[in-house]
This record gives sequence, C-alpha cells and structure tokens, in this order.
Amino acid sequence: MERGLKVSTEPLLGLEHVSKSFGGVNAVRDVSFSVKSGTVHGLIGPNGAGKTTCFNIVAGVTPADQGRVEYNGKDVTPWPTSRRSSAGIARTFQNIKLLNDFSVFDNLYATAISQSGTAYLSSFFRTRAARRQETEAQSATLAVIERLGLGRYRDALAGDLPIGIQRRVEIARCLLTQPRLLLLDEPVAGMTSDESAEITALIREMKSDAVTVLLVEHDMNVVMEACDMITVLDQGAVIAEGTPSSIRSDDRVLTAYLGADL
Amino acid sequence: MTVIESTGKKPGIYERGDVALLGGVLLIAVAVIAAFGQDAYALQLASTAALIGALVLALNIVVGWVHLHSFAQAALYGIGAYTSAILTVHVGVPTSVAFIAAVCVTAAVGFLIAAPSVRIGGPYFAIATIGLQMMVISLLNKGGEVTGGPGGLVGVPPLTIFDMTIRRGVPFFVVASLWLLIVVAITIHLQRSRYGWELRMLGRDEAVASSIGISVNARKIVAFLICAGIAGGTGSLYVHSVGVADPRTFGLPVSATLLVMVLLGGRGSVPAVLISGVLLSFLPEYLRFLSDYRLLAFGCIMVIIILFMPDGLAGAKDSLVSRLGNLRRSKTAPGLVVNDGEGVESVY
Repeated sequence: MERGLKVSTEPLLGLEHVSKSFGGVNAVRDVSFSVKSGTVHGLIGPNGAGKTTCFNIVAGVTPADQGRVEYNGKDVTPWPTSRRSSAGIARTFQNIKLLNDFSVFDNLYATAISQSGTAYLSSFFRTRAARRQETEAQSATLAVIERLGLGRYRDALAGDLPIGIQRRVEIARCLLTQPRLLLLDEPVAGMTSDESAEITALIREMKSDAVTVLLVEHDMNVVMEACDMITVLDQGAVIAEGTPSSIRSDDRVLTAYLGADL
Repeated sequence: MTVIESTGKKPGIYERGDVALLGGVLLIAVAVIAAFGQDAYALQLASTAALIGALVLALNIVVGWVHLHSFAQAALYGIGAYTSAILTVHVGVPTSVAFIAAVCVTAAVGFLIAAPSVRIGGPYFAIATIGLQMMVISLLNKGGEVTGGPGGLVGVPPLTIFDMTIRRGVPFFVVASLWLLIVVAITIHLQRSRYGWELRMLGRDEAVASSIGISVNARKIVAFLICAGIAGGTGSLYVHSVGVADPRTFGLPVSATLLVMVLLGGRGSVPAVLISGVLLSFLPEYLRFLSDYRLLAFGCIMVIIILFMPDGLAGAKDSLVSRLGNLRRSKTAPGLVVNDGEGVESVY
C-alpha cells in the first residue's frame, strides 16, 4: 500500500502545551503535537512515558491541568466524553469493554439505535418512523458486522469470544458512531501475532474511509507497520516526531527505549 | 433481540415474547376472577400481588437496567399513597385527579432525589435512597393532622372512575390488573426503545455509554423519575382500595423486600422480575403457619436463593436452557465456536 499518499496537511487534532500531574508525578509535561487529517498517527514511548495520560486527555476522561486540546479547529478542552463522541471522536479501551452478557449483534445494535437520532417519545410509542429507524439501525449493525468479518459470531455472547474478535467488536462499535477521529489504546495488547496482524490491517483500512487514527501502542511492529507519523514520548515529554523510518534511526528514541549506555 | 433480516418481516409493535407476556398477565387475571370471584381474601391477595408486580417492574428499570440499587421504592409508593390520601381527605379533590397528582408528585420527588445523587453513583446512591426512605417515614409519622401521624390517615374514599365506585373485591382487582398491564406495556415499550437500550448499556458499562455519546447522568435521572412515577400511581391505587394510609406499609423492610424481588428475578429480565415479585408476594401468606417466625423464614429463604441463584430466575432459566441446548447440540449442529477460557478457540 502506498503510504502517505492521501495525507492532507490540515491538522484534525492538536495538543498545545498540555500538562498533567498526579500527586507529585508529572505524567505529562508541556506536550504539544498535532495529528493530520487522514493519517494514522502513533503515540509511543517506554512504560510510564505518559501515553495513556495523553490518550485520556484527548478522550476527555482525564482533564488536563494546563494546555489546550483542539479538535477540528475547535477548543474542546472543557468538553465531556459524550460531547466529544458526538463530535466524531471514538475510542477503544485498553482492557476491552463490551457488554459481555449481550450478543455481538445486541452490543452493536445498542450503539446503532443510540446513534439513530430517533426521538425518544416516538421510539417509546414505536411509531412507524421509529420502527423504520429501528430497521435502519439493524441494517447498519449487520453492515458493520459484515465489514469486520464478524458474521459467524453475530449471535455469540461478547464475553465468550477470544480477544482478537472482541477487539473487532469494539472497533465495529466505534465505526457505528461514524467517527472522524478514532483513538486506539493499545489495540493489540495480549494478542497472538496473527490476531495483531489482522488488527494492523484493519487500522490501515480505516484510512480509506477517511478516518484519522491516533494509535497508542507498545508493539513496535504494529506501530511501524500501521503509522504514517509517530510522536515519541519519554518521561512525560515529546522527544521525537517523524515518519516510522526516521523514528527507527533516531538516537534519542533508541536511548529512551534501550537505556543511555548504548 | 430478533434480527428482522432473517425472517424478512417488517417489525411490528410487539414481538412474540411481548404478546405472550401481556396475554399471560391478562389470562391469569381472568382466571383469578373466574376461580376466586367470591373469595374476598383471595382477591385481596391477588390485588396486592398485581400492585407489587407494578412496583417491582418499575424498580427493575433502575435496579435491573441501570444497576443502581434503590432502597426507596416503598417510600415512593408511600408518597404516592399519601399524596392521593391527603388530596382526597383534606382537600376533597376527585380520586382520579388525586391519582394523576400522585404520579406527578412522586415523579418530581424522584427527580429531586436522583438529580444530585446519580453523580456519586454506586453505594452512595443506595445510601441516598435509604436517606430518602428514612426521611419520608419520619415525615409521615410526625405530620400531625395532615398525615395522621403513626396511626395513619383514615377515611380515604374508594376510587371513582366515570361515576363508578371501585370497591374492594372484583372491581378493584380488575383495576389493579389493568394497572399492572399498563406497567408491563410501559416496560416493554421502554425496553425496545432507544432509551431502553441506552439504559441497559450504561448500566453495564458507563464508560462505554459515554464513549458513544450518551449523557449518562441525564439518562439515569429520567430512569429514576419514571420508576418513581409508577410507584406513586401504584401507591394511589393501593390507598384508595384499603381506605387508610398507614406509615408502616411504606417502611424500609418493604423497600428491601422489593429490591430483593428484583434481584431474584435477575438480570433486568421483565418476565422474570414480574414472576419473582408476584410469587414472593404470596410467600409470607404460605408461611403463615409459622406464625411469629414467618418473617425469619422469609429472610432465610431469600438468603438461600441469593447464595445459590446469583443470577436469579433469569439466570436459572438460561443455565437450564443452555444445558438442554448442549445435550441437543452434541448430537447435531456443527460450527459452534467455543473459547476454552485460555484464549484458545476451538470450532466444533
């Protein structure tokens, strides 16, 4: 696949001088970077580098102490998670979160019907319009199940599935919200190499749908394979930024990962 | 839920299971009238069971779907009863107006309690509802002439609908059964609606719900408001059937019993919760031969059921069905995917 071909220059997401500390620990110190529209942007770094804190600040779970988060040209710093979601920011969870006692279909249908925009009262009274929207939500659910190859798991309970499939369900749920920005928090953690290769391919496919991806990941193979741009964090600060090939040969990155003695 | 695509049918207002549930309630009500039409005591028990059914279905919205444990259902029931009693006894408004007022006032109280307490969530919500429960009982006991104090408010007139006076016995049982049917229909409609899906989603995982754009707290507040409104209406019907509002009817033990009934039904399943509530409403009567020890026995039975049936009736049914299904599947049906718990997937 031709990488970086359709990369536009306009940033969809920007962090400006963001800082966050927990007690005495400065988890994130004056971090600024931007994610260009239509790219897969990796956020990497050794353990404790502040990746997940940055992720949570973007997702709206953790408020930043200082700095701004800009999305699509707007200052979204004070927005709660639900509002960010409505504006097109979707996320997955490091520890996969599904409705475990619901089938895959019901997991996704719950999202589809919630996104349908059906008026609550007409949905309660099951008016003809509401039932039409229900049918549409079912079609949308079946379409996303088809697209992510979940057909044979449709009626299985989400909690009974292997994690590679569960992650697909989570990504399917994100796609149902029609995101412009997809935040993935260590999407291949705990997976076999086959499973992680499949997820990597899926992340690349997002690009063709004009979904911008911010990928927080430990697995270097996945990061190098999937990303157009990479931001490297160490001890809460940005130490390098660039394409996968430039990051691979960056001395500061090698030092951060492998230790100063090298 | 049923997937329409596989049957090719347009979605109707009710699915087959809903029709079975509504029809079942109707059939049982008709059967009770046919069998016990002359037995005032049996009709009284059956009417109480219908009202308890309505109370647990309402509570199920908050407990079974949203997973917030409310210990205030009896207090809300009491607020409805006293609103109706005070309006008819002291103010002299018609009973039908008092019923509507009871629904509205109780829903409003539910809103006022839920609005600040859903944020803190979990055990704190339970504590807030216990607080409401205690507060309501002490207000009822100390309300002087308005509430009648610990002795209760007597002389509450029977319900009058279109110039018909609904007395105890068959007429009131018909009204109680109709109310239960309405409440069953409300919960079915809620469950199928967008709002019902959102509630069940956020009850299972709030982070997931807010990650897809659901305002979790607003949804919870409305759920509690609906639950309170139904409890208030039920209280109003009750007080007009017995003619007296007694604070002891609305105490914490009643709230706890209602909560246990919902938990025993299990997993927010509407039919399971309804069956659990109706059956358990008769249990104290069956235990009457134990005289003073019957509440002790009632408590023991509840502890045993909770220990051995953690998922309630719904869970017991599911495990039975899946065991039967496994028997059947082992003979036929290929293509079942099973995760053996160590992440290894086998295809049978």
